Formats: sequence, structure tokens, C-alpha cells
Amino acid sequence: MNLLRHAFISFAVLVLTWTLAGDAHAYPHFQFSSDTDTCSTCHYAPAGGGLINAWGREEAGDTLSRGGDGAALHGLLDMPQWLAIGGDLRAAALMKGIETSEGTVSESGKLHIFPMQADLSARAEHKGFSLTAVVGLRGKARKSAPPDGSMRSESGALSRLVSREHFVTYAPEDSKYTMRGGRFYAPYGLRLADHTSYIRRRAGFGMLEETYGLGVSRRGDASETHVTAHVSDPILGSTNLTYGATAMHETRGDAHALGAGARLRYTESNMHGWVGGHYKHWFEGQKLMIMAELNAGYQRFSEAPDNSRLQLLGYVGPVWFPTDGVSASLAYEHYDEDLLTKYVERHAITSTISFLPRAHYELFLMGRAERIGTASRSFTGMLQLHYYL
Amino acid sequence: MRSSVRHLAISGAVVLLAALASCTEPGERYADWEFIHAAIIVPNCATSSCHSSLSQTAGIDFEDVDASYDFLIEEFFVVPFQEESNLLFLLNGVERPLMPPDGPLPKADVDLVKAWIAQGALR
Repeated sequence: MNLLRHAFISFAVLVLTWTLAGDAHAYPHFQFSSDTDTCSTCHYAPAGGGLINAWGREEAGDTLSRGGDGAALHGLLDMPQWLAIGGDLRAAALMKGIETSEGTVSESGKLHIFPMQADLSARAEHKGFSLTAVVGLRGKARKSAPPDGSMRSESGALSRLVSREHFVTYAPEDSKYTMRGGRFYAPYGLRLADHTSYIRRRAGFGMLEETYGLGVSRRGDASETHVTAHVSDPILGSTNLTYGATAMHETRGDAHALGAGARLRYTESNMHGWVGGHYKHWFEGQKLMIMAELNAGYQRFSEAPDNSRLQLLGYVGPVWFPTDGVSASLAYEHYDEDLLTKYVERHAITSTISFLPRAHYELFLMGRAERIGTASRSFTGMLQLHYYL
Repeated sequence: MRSSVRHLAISGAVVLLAALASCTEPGERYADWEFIHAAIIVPNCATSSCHSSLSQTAGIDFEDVDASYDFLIEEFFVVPFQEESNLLFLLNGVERPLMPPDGPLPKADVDLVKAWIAQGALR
């Protein structure tokens, strides 16, 4: 009976993962807190994120959740060692309250229920080479045309088919280096799962902003380094070709990680650079992790009279693990789009609760209060039901 | 070594404070389309899942500076010299759904767009 139930769930997920694709990232607060010291201990990708490996799947049942079998397809099939599959399915309920200088926005208080993420992932490996691909359809939370129909119609559903990530890696045996080529996020900063967090969205790591790149990663005993040269998607992506490079180095102690990074991107209209650092500290006795990231940005516009601006981007806050399978976070986020202009900064307080009752299942609750400039406020509440294959 | 790091940090903080103290008022920014497109429209509207060339939500692509301008004028989202333009209704969430839907622009940025329209929405 139990086997039948798992088989049904797995089949349903396999079908549904073809309906919508969202965003998959690692959960950086699991570093140190789950008997691991690097993201790639649990993930196949050299900087973490996406498909989890055999060790990660064991941890999913043993230490991250309140039990269960974390193996792919709930352990129904013995996967050959060269093949790994996975998937993420998320449904979400979202409610926002927004006030601008003109008053309360008409959509405030409306409940949006939508499929948020449906990714199917696969990885095949042979003699140090591996091929990884993630596919699905792009999702959306809202109707895209206003009620008066004043905007143009949208293109068909097939145009929403997307492969967010697809890359080849080569990791020579007994080497500390991994080379990667294809479409993926260039590793930088904390790499939060929430793509709406300022440190992701405002630094070029928003939804579907994976770039095509060539990267080298070095994993040392107590450090890791990632260097990536990248361009925007030349086929389906930006009409403005963006090219650049991103580098990140992280050193680790027994209970902390300290990283520094830089990111530079050029387009025809502007040059945009970020430098920054991130820090994590795990307090074992209190089951508490502090995470912080701070970035300074510089953007220069090639044709505009106001032709440059300095920016600031930050995140700081604790994550608490009160009991097995539960984590709660509280963070302050800051984004100043132009440090030298008044009243354009954004502040946010974000709180989350994640509950993993069994391996493969997660209940996620998020609340965010934002102050935007001097006149606008935004409040967000979101509930996510997450299942990973 | 520690002393030089401290001096560097202090110097950095002084430079930052001096820069912040000399902040310009939002109204002093030049209301120019090139700047508005690159600094406001692209990072807030032409995101990959919204009005990028990839997604083109509602058939709108705001990535290219010329095509974006032509679209706003031809579809009457912007009427030069007319502050009651549809674009401003959308940015304020008045009588239209708010854009961007996940959170408004700072009022200072909306005011810059308003000033650009009031000055004739020049290309």
C-alpha cells in the first residue's frame, strides 16, 4: 500500500514537472548545520544547487527532515551509479498588500494561488564527464494582461518551454579542479534559495537569469574558488548581449565561512560591477546560524547624461533550527539603487519558517515587509508546498 | 598590517559618509530616456520572467531602448506633455494593476518618469 502511494506520487510528480519550471537553488543554511561543510558535499554541481547526490539524499532523511527515505523516487528504483534524476514541484499561495503615495493599490489583499516551480532534472556521468539538464515550462503568478485588454496578446504555451540549466562538467579523478560549460548561475555570494531576495534579484541572479558560461572551480581542504566567464542567453535571452565574469572565493573554519567575490557585466548601454563579501557562522550549542552578505555596486551608462551610480546591497540575519526538520529565519535586507540620490533605497524584513516533516516534503512560510523610498510600503505573505523527487 | 586595515576601513567610511552627505535630491536628476530606460525600466521591468526578450509577458519586451520607446509612444502608454499617461497609472497602481506587480518603484523614480513625460518625453 505504502509502495503504491509512493509510486503514485512519483508518477504524478514526473508528469507535473513538465508543466512549469521555476527556480532551484541550494539552502545555504544547511552548510555546517547538517554535518557538511560545503554545498558540493550534498549537490553534484561544484558550487551547490540543483540535483542532490547520494550523500545529500541520505542527509535529507537522516538530519534535514524528521525521517523518511531521501533516495530518488523514494528508493523505488535502484538508479545506476552513472545516472541521477530529480525534480522539484512547488505550489504557492501569495498575498500582497501595497501602498504607494497614491494610496492602497487595487490588487492588495487578493490571494494568488499558482504552481510556482516544476523542474525535472537529470545527470549522466562517464569517466569524469557529466551532463546535467533541468527542464520545464516557465511559470507565472498572475494574469499578464490588465482587465481593459490594452496590452498585446501573449505567445503560445510552447514558447514557455525552457531549460534553465544545462551544462557539462569535467572533474579529473583525484583533482581538486572541476571545469564546467553551459548554462548555470555563476557562483557568487550566499546563493539563497529565494530569488526575490535583494542580494539575488538586484545583483543579476533573478529568475531565469542563468547565463551561458565557462567556469573553473577549485575545492581545497578548507576553501573553494569559482571563476566563471559568461554571456547572456544568445538564443532565447536578451536582445542586448551581456558578457562578463564572476569570481568567488570562500574559506572555512570549523564553524564559519568567509567569502569574497566580484562580478562584472557589460552590455551596449552600460557596465555594471559588484564587489562584496559574505559570512556564515554556526553556533552549535544554540543551533543558530548567522548569515550576512554585503555588496557594493558601480554602474556606468554609456549614453545617459547621469552616467554612473554607486549601489549598495546587503543581507544579514539568523537562521534557527529549534528541532529536527524545522528552521526559522529573520533577515534584514537593504538595496540602494543609487547611493548618491536620496529616497531611492529599499529596506526589507523577511521572516521564513521551513518545515520538513519527511524527506521529499517541505512546508514553507514567508513574510516580508518592505519600505520602498519614502512613500511606498509592501507586505508579502507566501505559503509554499514543496515536493522534491 | 592590522593598522593599515584599520586605516583603510576608516578612510572608506569617511569617503562613504562624505558621499552620502552630498546626496542629490531626486529632482536634480536629468530626466533623460536613455537613463530612465537603463537605470529604471531594464532592472525593474525587463526582468527575465517579465518583459524581457525571453518572456515578453503580455507581448511586451522592454530590453531594447529604441523599441521600448516606440512601444510606449505608439501604444499611448506615454503621451508627451501629459502627466495623466497610462504608464504613470501603472507605476502608481491607480486604475490599473500596479507595475512592477511585486512591489512599486520608489516614488523618486516614478517622479523622474513623470518629469520626463512632462518635458515632452523626448527620445
